[in-house]
Amino acid sequence: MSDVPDLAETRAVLREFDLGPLPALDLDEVVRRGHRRRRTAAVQRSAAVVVVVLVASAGFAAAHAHSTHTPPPVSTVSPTPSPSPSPTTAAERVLAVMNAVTAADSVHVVAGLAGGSTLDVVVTKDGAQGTLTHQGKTYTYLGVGGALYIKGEAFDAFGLLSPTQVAAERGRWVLMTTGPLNMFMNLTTLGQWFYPQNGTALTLGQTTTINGTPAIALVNNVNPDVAYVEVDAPYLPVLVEDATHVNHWVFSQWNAPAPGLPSAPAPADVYNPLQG
Amino acid sequence: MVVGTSSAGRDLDEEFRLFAGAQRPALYRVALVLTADPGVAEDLVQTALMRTHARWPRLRDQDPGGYARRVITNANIDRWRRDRGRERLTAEVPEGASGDLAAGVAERDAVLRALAGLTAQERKVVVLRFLDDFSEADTAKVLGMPLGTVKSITHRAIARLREDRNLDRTREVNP
Repeated sequence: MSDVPDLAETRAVLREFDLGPLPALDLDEVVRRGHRRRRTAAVQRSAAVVVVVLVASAGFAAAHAHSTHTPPPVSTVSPTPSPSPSPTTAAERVLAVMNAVTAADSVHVVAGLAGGSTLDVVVTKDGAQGTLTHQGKTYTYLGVGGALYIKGEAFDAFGLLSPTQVAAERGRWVLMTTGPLNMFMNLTTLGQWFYPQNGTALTLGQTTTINGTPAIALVNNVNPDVAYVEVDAPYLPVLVEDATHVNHWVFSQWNAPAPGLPSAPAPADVYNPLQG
Repeated sequence: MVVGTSSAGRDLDEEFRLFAGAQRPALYRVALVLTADPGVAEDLVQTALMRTHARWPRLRDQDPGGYARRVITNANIDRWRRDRGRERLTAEVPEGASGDLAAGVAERDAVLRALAGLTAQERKVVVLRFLDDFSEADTAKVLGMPLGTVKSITHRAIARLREDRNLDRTREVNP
């Protein structure tokens, strides 16, 4: 035989050499780990998708939402916001905005996002409730008791879970346990949303009028997005939008009477994707 | 409820078990050629099957075998990156692959020794070219490298295998 194996010979050797006895494989363990990975991945994907829906292209929001920096408690930054002098820097303005949001009673947030997705939610000190629409479907959104729930065919619509999981969650509240959504849980978390990753992330921009309210721009230096906040006290947010103006968040009806929050769903009515 | 304990879930699990049983030898071969290490190959197969099971509801009607092979390749790349600098290119094959005079064991021992003489990159190309039957162009696309690089790596890998006396001996034993 030739000393020089050609490609076919190499192929044959590699394909046909005796593997010997296959190593023992605990298929039950493989299946168990597969289920566990499926559940974890589903939660991660669902969180990612909803975050995309909610904040995706709004870079200003995203820059804050994705910050791993824990902002200081608002009350310790400025214990008495009302008599404090007007903020003159972007950092002071951000702290003023955080104080104002946290001190408010309620706000109506309407977001319009690329692809036609929307969020329409009333956020109060105690929680949040409203609707989320995505790809023509509407989901109920509820923040209560320090947890966030979405009800409807959320996972079904996003195609995130297995048929078994979809069947399990149908008609129940889906517990969204991941961090990025917590910003919409209540006014405290919403206030923290405006906290920048560092003190130089924002600069003050032009003053303008939005929906009849004089507002000054807080320009994100990292992402070309802008948050417009009231020029004058109490410095509440008015609008957040990205450079394309397609993705935008409108804040209105600050401190308007808000409907009472329902009680947290009973455990039997909650589907936790992590637990199946 | 625990996902997977419903009737539909059990059916899917059973389907996956059949798949796993049928595909294990082929997956193990790919992993073995990629790593030249039975222990590592075994781990890669388990990882691939676990990840394939995790996506089984979607993969079952597509190409789960292809997916599992890609997982093996990628997981091996991850392992290689993680262990970079610690992996020694050596003709030494882990215990268990040698020491038996039976023809099958001798052949396996020879092949693994020959593969152990290749670099990780050469083994990747060998798997794609000779086990997956990828063309040079497709191999280049999959590995994200120029066509000429694939050609030269293939040539080099063949040459190294050709020079390996253990593999020569195998061919004499098993012409």
